[in-house]
Amino acid sequence: MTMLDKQKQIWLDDRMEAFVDGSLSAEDADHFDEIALMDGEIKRQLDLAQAISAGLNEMDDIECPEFISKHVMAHVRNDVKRSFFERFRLFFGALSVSRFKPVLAMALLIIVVVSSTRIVQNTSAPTAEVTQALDEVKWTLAFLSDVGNTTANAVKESVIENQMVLPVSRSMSTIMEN
Amino acid sequence: MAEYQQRVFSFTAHMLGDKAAAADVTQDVFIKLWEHRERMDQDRMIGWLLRVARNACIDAMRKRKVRRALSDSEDFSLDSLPSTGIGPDKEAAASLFRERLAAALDTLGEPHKSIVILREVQEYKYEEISEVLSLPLNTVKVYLHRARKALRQELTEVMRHDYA
Repeated sequence: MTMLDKQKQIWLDDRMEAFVDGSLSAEDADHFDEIALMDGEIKRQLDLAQAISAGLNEMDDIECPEFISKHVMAHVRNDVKRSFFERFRLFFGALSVSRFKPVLAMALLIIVVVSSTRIVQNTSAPTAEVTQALDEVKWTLAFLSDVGNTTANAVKESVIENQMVLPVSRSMSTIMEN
Repeated sequence: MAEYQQRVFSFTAHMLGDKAAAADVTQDVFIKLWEHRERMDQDRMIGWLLRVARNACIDAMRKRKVRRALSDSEDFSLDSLPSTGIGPDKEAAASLFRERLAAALDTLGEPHKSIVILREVQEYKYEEISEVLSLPLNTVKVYLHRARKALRQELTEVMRHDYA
């Protein structure tokens, strides 16, 4: 192939592709069409290029099978479930880390001691000291009650009778007499 | 999402020439999409999907050296062609041409094959192909030019042999 032939082939390839792509102007396309009609080899190459383009274009017919999306969705569901359990596992895994163990042991010990103390307090019989203290409280309350009664009677006699009831009844008698 | 799945499956089926392998790759691609969902830019999703699908296809081709042999040839049968009123002889010739074209496509190396599928089969714009393949726009055009020429040469050779 001479240099001229090579140049001609390059020009021909460029034109042919542009023609098949539809990127040639109407004028250039008509001109190239005329050339193809006059030259059998160019016509053959152009037909082949157009057949390749049409053939490739018609290939995009393959239907995507439905099971692909089902499998992907199944994977997504499993992944969501797995990540949920993974979070739980991490949480409890963190609790079992060695540096938390003394803290956990201490907390457990405190709970046990406090609980047992409360149980012992609730179930033990009252001691003599407690009984005595309770009696003292009762006597004190009774004494205070008695003192309260006495005080109230004294107040009633000395203050209410003498200072209020007698003056009022005297005043009323005087008014009635007049 | 169904549209994306269709595009990715079609691309992988043409890349691998094997529907079962294409289904496996498509499934893996969408599982990867799920795993990368938090970092995914919605506007660039199809580009990302095709890029991942292409890489997976290249890996699969390396491992298995899959030959173009679509298990279900119905997809490429003449039933799916628009009716042109051609006779039985022409139908047979068209069918043969499709087989030869598929075989010729399979002979292309990368990235030529991906570019031809994306441009000619799936009708992506040059800019989109440039983004999917991370190649400059002019490089995509040059590769496509070479790939088309290679297809013409391959088919010329094959058809010359067929009719010899």
